[in-house]
Amino acid sequence: MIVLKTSDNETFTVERDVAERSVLIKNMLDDIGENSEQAIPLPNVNSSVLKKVLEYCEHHRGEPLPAADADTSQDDTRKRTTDISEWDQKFITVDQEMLFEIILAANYLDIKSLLDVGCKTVANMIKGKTPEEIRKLFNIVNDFTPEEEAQIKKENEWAEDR
Amino acid sequence: MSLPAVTAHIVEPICASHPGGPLDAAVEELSAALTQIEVVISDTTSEISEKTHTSKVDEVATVRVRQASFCDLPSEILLAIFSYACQVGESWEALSFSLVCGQWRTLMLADPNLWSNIALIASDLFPDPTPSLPFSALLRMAKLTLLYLERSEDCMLSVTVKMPTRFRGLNANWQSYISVGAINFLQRNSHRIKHLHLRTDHGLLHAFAYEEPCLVDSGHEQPCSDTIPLPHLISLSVEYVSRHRFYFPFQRISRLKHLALGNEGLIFQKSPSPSHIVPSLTFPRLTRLVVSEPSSFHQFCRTMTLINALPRIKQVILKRIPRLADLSISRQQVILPETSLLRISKSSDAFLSTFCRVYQFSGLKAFELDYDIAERSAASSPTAVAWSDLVCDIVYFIRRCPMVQTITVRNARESCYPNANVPGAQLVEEVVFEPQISPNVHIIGFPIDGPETEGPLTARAMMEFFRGFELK
Repeated sequence: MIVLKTSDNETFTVERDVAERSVLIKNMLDDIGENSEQAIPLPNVNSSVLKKVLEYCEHHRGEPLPAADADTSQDDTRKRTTDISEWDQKFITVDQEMLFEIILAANYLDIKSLLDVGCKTVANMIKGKTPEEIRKLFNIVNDFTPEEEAQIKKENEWAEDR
Repeated sequence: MSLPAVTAHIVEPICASHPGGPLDAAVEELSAALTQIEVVISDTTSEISEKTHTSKVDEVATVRVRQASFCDLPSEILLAIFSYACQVGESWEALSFSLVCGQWRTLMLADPNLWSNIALIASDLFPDPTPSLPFSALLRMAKLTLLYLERSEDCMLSVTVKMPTRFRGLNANWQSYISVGAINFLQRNSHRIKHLHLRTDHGLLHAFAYEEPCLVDSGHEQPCSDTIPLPHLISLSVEYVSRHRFYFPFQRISRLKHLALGNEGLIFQKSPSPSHIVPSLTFPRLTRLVVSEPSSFHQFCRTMTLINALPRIKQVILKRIPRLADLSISRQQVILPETSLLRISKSSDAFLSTFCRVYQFSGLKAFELDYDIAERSAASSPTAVAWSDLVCDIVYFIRRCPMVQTITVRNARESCYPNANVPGAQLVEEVVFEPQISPNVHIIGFPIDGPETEGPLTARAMMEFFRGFELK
């Protein structure tokens, strides 16, 4: 069993094969050796997010880890899709803030499949939307200067014209 | 802090001013009231200030534990998201993203790959036929195509051109939906196209595929001139939406690996061979063939002859094959020795039953059967084949595949397994088993053992069921 310690000082005890879905944790375990009982600190992940991440790892335990160049080889054969499996879809149906927390945690912990699920989910949220709709959705400020606005005026017309 | 009560002071109308008179008394009273109000305001202001300060402190404290927003995502993750959205989007996503804010624009303009997905789409407007696009929309389509071609620099392209499947009149003009200018721009850049997905009628296919198309654009049974060069094309999907039979224009694509033919009424050029007539196509690297929604079983069989004509095809995927009208007339047996993987996905039981009796894949190693979760209610339709009959056909098919190692069934309906007492809403997610029922049976999606007469379907019950058919 492995002990993980979150940024808010909570500890989680998990089985090794679940924790090793994270390449970061796997590498740390390799470094500290088999028999170490010390908790692995995860200063960039809080307990509520780690709980969610471990739920994902638990569900996908035992599955082969994706190769580092999986996307490249897939791209060589056919277009990528943003299809997400039914379980993953339910898992990732969370509020926006938690979604971004999961993405950041997956990136930090180096869990490629979870990062892909997060990125695909956001991609599905923004595809087909106008710039204004995207700004509203994520509360993004339009920070173009008047000069830039003038430059992209024509493109704006094309983008809004649906 | 509790606020002092402020009483209303009514000042009598003043008609004249007399020192020490009622006016002075009124002024004093008013002045006292004002002083009281000022004190209240001052207290309230300091209280607001104190509360604001406290909330700022709280805010600073929560920043450390607050949850993330879009702005927290690092650039490499943003780029991954953009990449996914641009590749699957069909609404000029790259342009939209580049106009959201300064950071997004910088990222978008820095990566030409993000502009390499060009989709010219005229969406279906069900249930009515799709009206023609206005001229301004066609002009925009051409301008954006040019913009994307410029911004994608020398990157390989993914091109999608989709006409509506329902348009006004049988001889609707494709130029009413897809910009002629955009098609011309794409033709000039055909050497950059890596993925090509066409939902097209005969007119658009004719105009897109040939460098110098002839004036007659229907009923072609022979090529009319040179096709556009597609030296880097690796996946081609043609969904044909015309009643005209049309000569399949792309005869030689040196790097093609995936070919998908949908709803096809396409004709393949025939070349004589010692034993039979086969299409003369040169796709030396083609390994995967996808066939979906053929118009008839004859048409399906015609397309399947490609497998013998192109022996490097190792994977065959049949998708969404409906109950075809002429299923019963096919009595021939077709042997396809080269294919190693066959997947039949979301197709009708009637088709599957006939297919299993007609085709033999003597070199098949993996057989996959996917049901559509959404369409499982179709099983109860009066035209559905009885599951026991269908299993007989499937077992007959498997027996004639001596090399087969795994069979996978996904999302099978509970009614598929009559001996199993499966709750009505429960679906069998995935089953993989070896037809020889060896000790190393590999089954996914089931509890391995359990009560066989009631409760959820078990792997053992599933195997017993198929073994029963094996022994008969």
